[in-house]
Amino acid sequence: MAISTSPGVIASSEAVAPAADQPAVRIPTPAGKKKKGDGLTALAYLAPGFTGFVFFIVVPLIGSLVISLFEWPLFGSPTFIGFANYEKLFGDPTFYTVLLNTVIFAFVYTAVNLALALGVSLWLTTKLKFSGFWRVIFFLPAITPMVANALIWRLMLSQDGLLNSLLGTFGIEGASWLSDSRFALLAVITMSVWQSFGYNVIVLSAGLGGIPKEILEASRVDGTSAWNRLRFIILPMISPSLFFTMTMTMIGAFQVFVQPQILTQGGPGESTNTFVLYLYRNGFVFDKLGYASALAWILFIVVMLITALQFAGQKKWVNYDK
Amino acid sequence: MTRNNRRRRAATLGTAVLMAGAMTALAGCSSGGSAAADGTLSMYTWVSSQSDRDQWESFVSLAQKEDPDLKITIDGPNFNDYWTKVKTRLSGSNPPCILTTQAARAQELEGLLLPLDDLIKSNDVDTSDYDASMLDGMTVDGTIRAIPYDAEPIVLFYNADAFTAAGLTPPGATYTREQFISDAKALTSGDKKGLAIAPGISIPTAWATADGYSGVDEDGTLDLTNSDFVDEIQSFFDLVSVDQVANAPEAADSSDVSQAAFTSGDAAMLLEGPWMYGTFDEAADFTMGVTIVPSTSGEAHGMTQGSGFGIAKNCSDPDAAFKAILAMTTTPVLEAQAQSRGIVPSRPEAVPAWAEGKSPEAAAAVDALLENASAYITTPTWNQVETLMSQYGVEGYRGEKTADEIMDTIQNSVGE
Repeated sequence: MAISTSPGVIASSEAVAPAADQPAVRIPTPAGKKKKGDGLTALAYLAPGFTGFVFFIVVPLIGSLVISLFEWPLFGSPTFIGFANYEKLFGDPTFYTVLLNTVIFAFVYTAVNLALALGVSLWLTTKLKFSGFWRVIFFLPAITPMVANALIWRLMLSQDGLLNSLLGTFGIEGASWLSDSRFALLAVITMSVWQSFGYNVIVLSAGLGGIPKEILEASRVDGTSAWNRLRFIILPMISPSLFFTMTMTMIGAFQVFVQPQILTQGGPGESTNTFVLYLYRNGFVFDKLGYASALAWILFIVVMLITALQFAGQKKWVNYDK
Repeated sequence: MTRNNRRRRAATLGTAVLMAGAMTALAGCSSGGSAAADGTLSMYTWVSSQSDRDQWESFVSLAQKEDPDLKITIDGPNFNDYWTKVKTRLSGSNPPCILTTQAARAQELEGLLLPLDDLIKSNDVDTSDYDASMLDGMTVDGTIRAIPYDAEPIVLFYNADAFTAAGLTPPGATYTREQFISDAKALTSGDKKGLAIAPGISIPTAWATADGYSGVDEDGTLDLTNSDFVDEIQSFFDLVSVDQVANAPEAADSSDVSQAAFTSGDAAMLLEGPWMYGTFDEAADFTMGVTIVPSTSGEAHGMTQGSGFGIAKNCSDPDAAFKAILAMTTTPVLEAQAQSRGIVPSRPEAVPAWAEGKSPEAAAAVDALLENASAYITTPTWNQVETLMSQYGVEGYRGEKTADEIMDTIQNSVGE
C-alpha cells in the first residue's frame, strides 16, 4: 500500500505505519499551505452538466415521486393519499394489459430491429456501389418527425389505404390492419421498426468498420465459411456495438407512445395501448396526475431492472478485447 | 473534510433536492385572477386557427357596438390542448377572467368555473331567453357555470341527389329508424355506403337521445350499462355489423374521415352538428339536405351541443366579466354570428338568423329538434368514456363485441 502525502511524493506504508502501542502520526503538510486540489476546476467543468442533471432529471424525478403520493388534479388542491395510487394500480386490469403489450412490443421490436439493422449493415459493408447513399436512405426515417411518419403509415394501412389497394390489384382482400386486434400491434411494431432501424444501421456499420481487415483476410486464407466468419469473428468483434444498440433500443421501446397514439389510439380495445400512452392519458386527459406519476415510477423501475439485467448478461457475450 | 462533515453536507444536499422537488410539485397551487388596471379583461379560449380567432374577435367587436368601453384580450391554444392547458393556465400567474367551455365539458371544468346564479339574479337576466337544454348542459351541481352562445342539435345530413337517383323520397322533419335503415340499404352498393360514422361516443349518444335515452342518470352519475342505452348503442353498432350500411370507423380516425366520405359522395348520410352546414355545402357538389336524427317513433328529439362563456373562479372582478359575457350574448350579436359564422344561436329569438340562406327543410329540422331537445349531458370523467369508446367502439362496429360488453368494460374502467 502507498499513501500519497503531497503531489509527487510517495511514502511506503512501512515508513508511516504507527507502532502498535503508539498513536497514529499525521504527516503535516508544509506550514501555512493548504493542500491544493483540482476540486474547484472539476466543479466548474461539472457545473453545467450537473446543474442540468439536477434540475431536469433529479428534481422532476423526486417531484413525480411526491406527486404519486397525492390525488393531484391539474387545477385545484392535491390530497395526500399515501400509497393508494400504487394499490389502485396493482388492482387495475388495464395496467397489466398495457404492461404486457409494452413488453411484447419491446422484445419483438428490439429483436426485429437489431436483426434487420445487422443484416443491412452487413450488406452495406460488402463491395456495394453507393453504400453511402443507401446508408442515408435507411437513416432518413430516423430523422424525420415520427408523427408525420405515423400519419403516412395510418393512411397506408387504413381500410381503404394504399396497402389494401395494392393487394386488391392482385385479387387479395386486405385485412383491417389497424382495426383488427390480431394485426394492430404488428402494424405498430412494423412502423416502429421502419422508423428507427436506420439509426442502428449507422451504429453497427461503425462497429463493422472497426474490425481490422487483416483478421478477416487471415480467416479467409484459412478457408472459413462466411457463416463461420460472421459467427466467430464479426459478431464477437461488434458485440460492444450490438450491446449498445440493444440496450438503447430496448429503453426506447419501453417508452413507445407516438406510434399507437397516431396509428390506433391504443385500440381496438386495449390491444395496442402501451404504458406511456396510458400514463399520458391518465395525466393529461383524465386529469389524474398522481396516478400517472405512480405509473411513471413503475415504468422507471421496470426499465431499470431490464437494463440492469442486460448489463449483467453482457459479461457472457460482449467482448471488449481489441 | 471529515467523514461527518461529508455526511452532513450530503444530508443537506439531499434535503435541498427533496425540498426543491416538493416545491416544484407544489407550485401548481397558486391562485388569484385579475382584470387589468385599465379594465381590460382577458379571455382564454381555444384558438385552433385564424378562423377561430376571427370568431372570438367578432364576438368582442359586435359587443363593443353596445358597450364601446369593453376591452377583452384573447389568448389560447388549439382546441385539443385547451382542455388541459386551461387548468394549468388558471394555476399559473396572472390567470384569465373569462373562459369558454362546451356544455359537454362543463362537468370536467367544474373546479374552474364560477357558479353564475348570483350574477344572473343581480343582473336581472331572464334565463328563459336562452335555450333550456343548453342551460341544462351548462349546469353543474345545480348551478349555471356558463352562458351559452349556441345551441346546436345534431342533425342528419343527406345527399339529396343520391336519394333521388335511388328512387327514394328524401326525409322531412320526421324520420323513423325503420325508414332510415331501409333508405340506407338502398343507398349502399359496392364502395358507396348509406352512412358514414366517426369513432367516439357523442354521435351514438345523439342516436340514443333521439329515442329519449341517456348514458347518464338523473343524478348525473355515469350509467352506461342501463339496458335502454345499451340497446340503443347496439342498434347503432348494428348499422355496420348487421345492416352493413356503413364502414366501421378506425379508432384513430378524426371526424374529417367521415366528413370527407360524405362530401365526396362515398357515403349518402352523416350525423353531425349543424355548425358544419356551411363547410359541407361548400365542399359538396350535390344538393345537400338536413333532417332529424332518426328515432323509433320518427319524431324529433334533439341532442344539443354548444359552447358558452364562463368566469374563472379566481377572477377578481366577476361583475365586469359577467357584464362582458352578457354583451357578447345579446340577440343582435348572436344573430350576426349566425349569419357570418353559421352558429345556431342559443337565444331562440335569434335562430331565424341561422335559417337565412339555408333550405327550408334544414330550418324545419333544426326547429323540430330544438323544440324537443336534451343537452349532451356528461360526467366529470367523460374524457375517459370518450377515449375508451374510440378504442372499444371499433370492436362493436366490427361485431366482435356486443354493446353490453363494451359499455360494461367502459363503466368499470371509469370506475363510477
